[in-house]
Amino acid sequence: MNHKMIWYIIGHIFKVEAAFLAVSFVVALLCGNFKILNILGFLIPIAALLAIGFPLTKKKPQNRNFFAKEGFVVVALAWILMSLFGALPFFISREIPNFIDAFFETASGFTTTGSSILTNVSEMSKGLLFWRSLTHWLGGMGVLVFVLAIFPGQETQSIFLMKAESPGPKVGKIVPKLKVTARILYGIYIAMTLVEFIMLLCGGMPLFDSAVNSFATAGTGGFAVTDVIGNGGFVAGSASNAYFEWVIGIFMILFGVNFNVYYLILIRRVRDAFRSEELWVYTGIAASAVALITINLMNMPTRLYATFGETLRHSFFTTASIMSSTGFATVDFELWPTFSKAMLVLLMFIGASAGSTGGGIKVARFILMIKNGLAELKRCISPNQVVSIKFEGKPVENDVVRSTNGYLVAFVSILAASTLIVSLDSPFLDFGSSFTGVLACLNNIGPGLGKLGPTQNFAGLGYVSKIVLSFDMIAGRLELFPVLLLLSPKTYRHL
Amino acid sequence: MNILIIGGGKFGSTLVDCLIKEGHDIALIDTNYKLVENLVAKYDILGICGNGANVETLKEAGVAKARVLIAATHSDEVNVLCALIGKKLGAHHTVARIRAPEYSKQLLFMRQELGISMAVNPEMETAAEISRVLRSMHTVKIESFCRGRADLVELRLTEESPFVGLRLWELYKKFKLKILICAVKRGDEIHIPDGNFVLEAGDSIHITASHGDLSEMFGILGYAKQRVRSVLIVGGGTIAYYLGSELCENGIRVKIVEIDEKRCVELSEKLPKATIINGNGTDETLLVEEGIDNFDACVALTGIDEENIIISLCAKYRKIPYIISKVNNSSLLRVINDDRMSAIAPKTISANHVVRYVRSKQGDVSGSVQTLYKMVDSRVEAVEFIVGEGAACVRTPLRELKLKPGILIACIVRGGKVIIPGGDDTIEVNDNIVVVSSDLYLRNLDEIMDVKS
Repeated sequence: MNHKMIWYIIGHIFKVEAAFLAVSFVVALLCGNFKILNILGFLIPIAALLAIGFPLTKKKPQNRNFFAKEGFVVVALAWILMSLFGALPFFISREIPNFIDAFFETASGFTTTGSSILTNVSEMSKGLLFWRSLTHWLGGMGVLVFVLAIFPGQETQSIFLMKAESPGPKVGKIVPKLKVTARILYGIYIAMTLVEFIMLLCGGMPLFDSAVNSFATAGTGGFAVTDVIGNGGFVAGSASNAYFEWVIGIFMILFGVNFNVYYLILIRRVRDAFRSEELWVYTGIAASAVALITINLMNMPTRLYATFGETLRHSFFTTASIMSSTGFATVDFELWPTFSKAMLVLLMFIGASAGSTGGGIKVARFILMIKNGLAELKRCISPNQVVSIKFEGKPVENDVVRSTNGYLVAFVSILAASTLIVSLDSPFLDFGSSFTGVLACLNNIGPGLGKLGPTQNFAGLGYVSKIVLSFDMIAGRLELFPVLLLLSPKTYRHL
Repeated sequence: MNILIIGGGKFGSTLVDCLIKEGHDIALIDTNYKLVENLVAKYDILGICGNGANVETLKEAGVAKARVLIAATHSDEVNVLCALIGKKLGAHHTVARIRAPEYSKQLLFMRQELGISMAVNPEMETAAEISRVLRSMHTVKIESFCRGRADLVELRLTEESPFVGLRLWELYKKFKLKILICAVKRGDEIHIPDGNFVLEAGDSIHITASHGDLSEMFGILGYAKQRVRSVLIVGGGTIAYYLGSELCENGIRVKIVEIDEKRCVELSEKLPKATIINGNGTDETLLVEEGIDNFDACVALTGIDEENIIISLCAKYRKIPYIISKVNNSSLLRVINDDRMSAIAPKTISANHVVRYVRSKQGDVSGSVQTLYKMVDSRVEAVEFIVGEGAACVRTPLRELKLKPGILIACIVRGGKVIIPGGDDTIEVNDNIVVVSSDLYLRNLDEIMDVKS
């Protein structure tokens, strides 16, 4: 393994993180937060990151061989280290006095999960809240993609970095140059964030809240700051804020779409963009979920919401929030009937599109698995039948099907193992809570059900559970294998 | 520059390797998924799995924005189809690999009528390269300009060379040579020399000249005695056919050893002047029997790299002066290059041709750049222009032209005749001229003039 190259890239990542911390520091100062602990909380990690980052990137290594294995290790290592350093401001400022809690919160931020251990967000200082939401934004599109976009002299083999960090069964470039691809992706990302920010601002949301909510939506994260009670963060609880709910709801759906679609629209290949099979399945699932939940809510013996419009709005917002893996909540869906909750759990599994900022198994994988299952069924009926699986109008290679199956196996294994550990470590949780809590972390959603639902938080869990869940969040964001590879002793053998 | 390559085989991947180093945006189409994936992992390119003659696939690869489309699949017909469709879909220039000898005579027709900008024939180009190398084994490198009429030769001066210690104008006068030394590399320094430049031993010099003057110069340098007069070719494939016919035309005795009897009959019909031997070229007894010891040069052209290497090692052991072998696996190339043995890879030769063509299309608005050749570690460029109407340098004697420093008019071709320019010569409209420059990016003929003065 090429250790020098790995640390060289990590050095770059540290510099990026220092820059983002510095931005938050400036915001903290602008918000009039001059408490010495808070200032130190930002300055110490910035200094540490720069002190490590610059020596590491001073000289480009001679040996620039860089393969899939190195890509996976860099990504996994970078995300863990980033979360460790990112936790320092919370810890040093004593606003989150326990380091494991701070680490959980930061990991939840970077991985765009949005699960929180904070019991009272309104007591946090503005600078730290800004940093908490900024981690969503950076983690959404990916820090390595950011590094690829801004640092010069990329090696040709850095495609492995992007492959390891970007979600989806098949990661492709949209233009020949990787650097340009990364820039286009970030360009679209920044533009969409800005549009949402302006729309919220125009609707009358305060400047700080608009920014923070835009970051959280863009990264499909889910940390909110207004009227927050728990995991969900009640963005806009009252009916008077219907405008915000619609804007945020629509943007959550938009950020869960594969960014290649936006690029195609941008270069005016609109017809190609709307021919994307994944896009249709994604919107189809979302639309039917909204319809089913609305009908289910309307047919309750005692209606939760007065009008049809309100019911539709809540079911749309919640569906968008869960499916795009954002995890905002405007209502306590814990009170919903079992069918609706079951729908939400199903949506948690499916998640957003490949190549988006969202989490979950991904719609593309879901389609592949369904098609593979149907193909298997056909083979059972007539064993000699030759069945080919097609996706986006093209036959799917066996490799992709195989890796999708492997992903599912890894996913289920981690889910099962984590559920066991969490139930043992935090015995006060019922099965539904611990299972959906793990699921929400692994799929980077945020709130689970029951005692880890939208109005609850993760503060009461044991420390072992918090570490396991932090691990799940990072593993889930990086699509499992990078983190598993980092833990495998075989990776470090030289032969 | 956007370049679209169709076919990622030996030739296609060599092209990717060369072109990516020059910073182009490359999209590659191939039907083999595994191959595309490997290339995308290795190079910073866009890979698309599909048929390159398919309109949808071409559109997906962004053919409309492609400046150059290169069709390099294994089939000539597919390549032509790709180029035709690509052209219709908006690719500016199209290059197709067309290798079958039956098509080689209609290349002009294809260029003019079908709009294919360039046809690549690796076998023919390899044969031409081998023939050039055989004719001038002592040069380091040889390139041709103006459709092969003028040569650009790199040559290293030894202690004994009669050129050493002379000023260039003395040299030209003393030997009555119509050559031009257009670039000199001394140590790490590059000079574009003027008439007072003094040559030293150890200099690497670049010379432009016509074929005739070049052989005359080789005579003066004492290379004439070492001329290759007989060549033994082992392996009778397409390259051997092209090479054989070219060598025969130049009056060189050729003997071809080929294992397949049918092919031997075919070759003997096509190459009446050559001696065709039916036998196994790796069999040393046979080679000895055919008099390998008496040949000036041995060229190993069988289809298998390893066989070619063994044949050339055998020839080396038998002390044949010049040995060339065809080796396609580039990792093997390094193993056998020494003073007498040289290895040649057809894919690299053709790729270089295409790369030179692509370079000439870079930033070239007027279309006047014909070829562009980088020499001395890419620090000096030789650019071939067609002089258009209204060029600033026309009809002025060269001595009165105000050129930028570091620029040299190396060669003028007018009506098929090579003129090595002196101070009294002029540039006329429709001439092909070769301009040598260091550290400049010339893409337009008018850029050679020093506007400030």
